[in-house]
Amino acid sequence: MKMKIFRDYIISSLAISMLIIFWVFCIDAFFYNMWSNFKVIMSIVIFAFIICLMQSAINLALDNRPIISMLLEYAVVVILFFCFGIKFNWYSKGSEWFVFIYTIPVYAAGYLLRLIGVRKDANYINIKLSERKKRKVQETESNN
Amino acid sequence: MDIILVEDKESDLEVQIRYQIMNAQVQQLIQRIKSVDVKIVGSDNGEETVLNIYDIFYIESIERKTFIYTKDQIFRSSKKLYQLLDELKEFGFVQINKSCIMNIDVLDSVKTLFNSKLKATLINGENVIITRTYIPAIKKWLDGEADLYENENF
Repeated sequence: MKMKIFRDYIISSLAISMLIIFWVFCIDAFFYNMWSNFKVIMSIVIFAFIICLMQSAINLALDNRPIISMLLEYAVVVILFFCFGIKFNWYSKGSEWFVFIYTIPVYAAGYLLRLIGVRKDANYINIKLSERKKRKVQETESNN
Repeated sequence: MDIILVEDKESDLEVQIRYQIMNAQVQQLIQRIKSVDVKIVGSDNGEETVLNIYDIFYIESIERKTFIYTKDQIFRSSKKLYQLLDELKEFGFVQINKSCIMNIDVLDSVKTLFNSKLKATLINGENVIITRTYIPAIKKWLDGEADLYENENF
């Protein structure tokens, strides 16, 4: 329960900080004509939006193929980052290999966080299942 | 628990449960009685069988065909997976991935797989995959059942 509150707190504070960043750069762009920063923010927002959309689509389509879906997920992240990088100048020309420097740590961190979450879920389910088994044994004994 | 049987040729089949307090045992009894009305038909080599829903371990849809797995048999169903889920969800069946629903009663343990999925081991030793999207449904079901017992003890 405490972890859930902490997680919700982190998520909401991150969402609010994203909103503030977006709004500040929005004002800069419209009032002070500073469009370059706004474009960077917008490109990141669109990138994140597409990544999440693609991830959901891959999970839905390749639900029972964990290895393929994981590889495809990473391939999509790299390809999209490569395309966005060229379009919005995220890295200089000739430094395309930077794609991997950017994506591997972020993807690995995301993967680890997800894995930790699922591991906790697995522990929780196993605890509930063992409690359930104990209850069944008790019920059987009391009926006898 | 006493069972009173009354033969009345003029009335329909009626089950009356008299209880002191609504607890998990009464709930289970209600579920068991309700399950009598649910007819799940499976066919094995053209021979149709009415299955007891508590004998079903899991139901899987493969290439738009629905298969019902019991402890050691496989039956084909003419119904779609979502239709079966609708009929069975109140009896402890939950969706565990896009193409599979499982009877929680037969779940023995779970183990983490890479790519944030769970490998569920059933009481007959078989394994099925639980995807991340459907983990909350399983937790919710187990929590709901545990709450019933806690309320009873309280």
